[in-house]
Amino acid sequence: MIKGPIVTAVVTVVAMTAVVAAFMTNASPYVTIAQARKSNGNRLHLAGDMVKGSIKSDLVNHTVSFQILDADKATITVDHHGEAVNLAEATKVVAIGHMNGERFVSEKLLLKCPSRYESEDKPKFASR
Amino acid sequence: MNDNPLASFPEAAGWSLWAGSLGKGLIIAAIAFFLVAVLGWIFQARHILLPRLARIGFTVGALSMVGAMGCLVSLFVTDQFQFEYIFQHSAPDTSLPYKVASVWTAQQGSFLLWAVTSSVFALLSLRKAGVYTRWMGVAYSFFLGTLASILAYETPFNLMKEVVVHGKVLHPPFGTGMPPLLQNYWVVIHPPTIFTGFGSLVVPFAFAFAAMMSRNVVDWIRLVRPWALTSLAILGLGVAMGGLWAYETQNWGGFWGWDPVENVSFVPWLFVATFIHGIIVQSTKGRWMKANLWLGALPFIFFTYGTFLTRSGLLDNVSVHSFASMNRSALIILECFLATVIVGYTAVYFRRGKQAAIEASPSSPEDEGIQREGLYRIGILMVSLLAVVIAIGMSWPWFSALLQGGEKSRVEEALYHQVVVWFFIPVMLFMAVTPFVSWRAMGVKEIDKRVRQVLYITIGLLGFAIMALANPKHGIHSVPGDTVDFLFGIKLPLFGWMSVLIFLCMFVAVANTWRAVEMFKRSKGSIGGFIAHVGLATLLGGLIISKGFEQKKDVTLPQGGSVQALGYTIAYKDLDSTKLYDRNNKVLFTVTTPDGDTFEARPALFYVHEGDEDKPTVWPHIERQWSHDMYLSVSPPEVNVWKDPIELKVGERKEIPAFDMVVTYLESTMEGEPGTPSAKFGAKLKFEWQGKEYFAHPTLQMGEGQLRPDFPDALPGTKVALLQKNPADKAATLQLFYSPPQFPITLFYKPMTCLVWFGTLILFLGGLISAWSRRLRKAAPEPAKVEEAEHATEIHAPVPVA
Repeated sequence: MIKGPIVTAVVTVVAMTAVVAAFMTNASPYVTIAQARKSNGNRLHLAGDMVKGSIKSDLVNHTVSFQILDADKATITVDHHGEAVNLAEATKVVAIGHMNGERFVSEKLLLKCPSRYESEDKPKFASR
Repeated sequence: MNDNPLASFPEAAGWSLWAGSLGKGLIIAAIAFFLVAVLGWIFQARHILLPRLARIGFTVGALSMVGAMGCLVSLFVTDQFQFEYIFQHSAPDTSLPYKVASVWTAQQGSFLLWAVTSSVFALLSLRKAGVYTRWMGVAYSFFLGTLASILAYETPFNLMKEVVVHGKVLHPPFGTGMPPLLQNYWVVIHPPTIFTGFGSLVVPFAFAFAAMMSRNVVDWIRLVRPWALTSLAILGLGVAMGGLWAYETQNWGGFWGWDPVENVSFVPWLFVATFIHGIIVQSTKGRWMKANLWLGALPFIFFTYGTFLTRSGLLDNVSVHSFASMNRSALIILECFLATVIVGYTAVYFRRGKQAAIEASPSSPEDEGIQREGLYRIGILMVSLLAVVIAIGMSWPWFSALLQGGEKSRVEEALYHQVVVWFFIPVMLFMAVTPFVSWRAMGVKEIDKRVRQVLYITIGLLGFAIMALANPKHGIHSVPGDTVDFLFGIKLPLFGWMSVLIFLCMFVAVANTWRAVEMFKRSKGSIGGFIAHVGLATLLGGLIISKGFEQKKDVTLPQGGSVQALGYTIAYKDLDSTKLYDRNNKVLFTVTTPDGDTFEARPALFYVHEGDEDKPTVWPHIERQWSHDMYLSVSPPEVNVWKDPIELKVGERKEIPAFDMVVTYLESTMEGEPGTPSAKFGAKLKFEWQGKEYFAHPTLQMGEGQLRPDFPDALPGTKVALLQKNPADKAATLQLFYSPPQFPITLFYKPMTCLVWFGTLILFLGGLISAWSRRLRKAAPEPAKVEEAEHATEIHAPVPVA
């Protein structure tokens, strides 16, 4: 019976085309700060280094704000609404959200903590 | 490099250096042993002793990997910090289980763990491999030899350069330690479990490869079955444990985030599940020989691909699991291995496997009409597509850059859910209906007769469930207008959509429970599959309900005070400020439920001093009930009211819109002689807030060699401090502090989370029952007889799904 393989092939092609189309149109783009300022998207992924010592909390609005330095050496202030995260350990961060005036509002953060799985720094005796 | 601390270090113990060299040596020797094994088996016809030699080489190589792990563990538990890997991941005050767990907290150790679990599975499965021994041995030896080569570069046995002084190796008495975030019992049990699962994936691959090479694509199915079932059960347990770990420590109240590292373990699991069903078809009907050659190999191929993807740096900035990029040479070896496996396997399939399968396949076509094989085909297709979709999703940052000219993008959780559901709905329907369909063709009427009762029971139960869930007493205040977003701008009502999803889970659970009960008397061993399906449905139902009907509220709680959220009252109870650096430190809250009951919430909060900063770590508190979990996560207490201090000139009036507050710098004050200890600088301030005026006079005074502020009351619940005063223009820098400090708290209400735990347990149990009932008995009947026997039962009743 030849029906089986044909059905399989048709279902596979249709499903994969639909999925790739859905991903291409709906996946969230990575942006630089310069691109973010021009974009009105609401799930922008802004990646960069966390500026040391820039973390501040605002209890009235339930936000935590901090600064990101991107690959083009531009900085921007991010206001994070959302779950408490162990921010202090992070060095690299991806803020997911949208622009609000001159600031970036994030609903979700992906954090990269150097000490989480791997230490990128060489061991330091001096720090002890 | 600062030399001073080094001078005081004692010399490292001689045995430890020996153990380190041994570990390194065993790995390099293993490469040679595996090479001998590969050559010995390939050219076994040339000399009578060659197969024996190959067998010995393989066994010694595999044991060498275990030995290397033994060396590493012994160095870890005895604190040999002169080794870089140990220095970076352990510390003397770490307790023993965590010292062992430190082995796999990073790249090198986790590769070694993968090598060890694979070696153990290879050793065990080769004992009863029969005619397949030769080519399975080649596959195993090639794979393990590759892992050993990677480990030769990614070695955990390197000494720190700094401790080798004048030819002597010094022993530093401390290490950096495991990051506090990881120090949780799950780090001890989850990685070994999931790596055991990963290690088991090579067994079906080796069997499938050997089946093609030896042109016997029939007998391997019986031999591989218990291994595939074991793999499914252990890997499934490992994946579930990962979710539970995230839930208990990550503060976002969820189990699964579709992170690439999670997907890397989930995709192979899905393929093993399809393979099990392929095995069932082949051992019952003698068909699907070609498909099974692929279904057996894909779990391992996809896992290897995933390992490459997550370690290659291609997903930099995408995963929350950060792995440092691999050593370049090791990465090239991994890439070559992956390419060889894919190209080599495909080539062998077309040169040998395909032909052998066609020759061995019965000439009889698939039965016309609706029968189990046909439903399995579509079900397996759906699950395979789901796995491929997830694999594409996790590769999207890389693929999108290729497809869209360098524009990187990422598939987020919501998008996964929207796409995964296309496959979820048919898969669940098949999982519910297929157990009632027999291998011979049935009419729609007959199937309808069998399924109808189950459908009625499910609808009845769904009614009860909806009434229970909609009852406000259980806390699910689903707002009538709530909707769920779908692709292409479609919105569906939340409650209706949730009812559909819950119905599907219940349908699967009821149908499979029904079949398990029916089959229990006839064939006890065969009910494992049904039980696993019930467990899976329960687990999925728990995930769907606890996420879909989740409620969440952010509040701020003053130390000593209380606050309301989601009908709960949270009152501050205690925090021992002397234990803030203690890893077991908890903040205590008394929580009163809407029913008036109380419980004590104990979220963890502690600081680790690193460099010149105190870094806080927080863990949530989870109050488990039968009907729901209360998930309370706390952030470190906050003292600053304003994000940044404000600067005012004398006489300046400043509005602070975020707080609806106005501050005026009325007058600069000065007491005593400047430059003497009696000097006291002050600023008279006026605050206008909520229609009232408050006055404060913060000052700065010399004490212990520096200017110190006092903290007079300002607004209710706050104190103000003068941080700086410009001597020239008397401008004041001010900060307002919460007094007492404020705890930001997030409260989640997660209904029916207990189903996630039960489901995991039932799923694992079902898997074990299946694996046990399909274990290879000593006097196993000839494969042909097994099939005959299974066909015999077929005449009376549908053959059980294992």
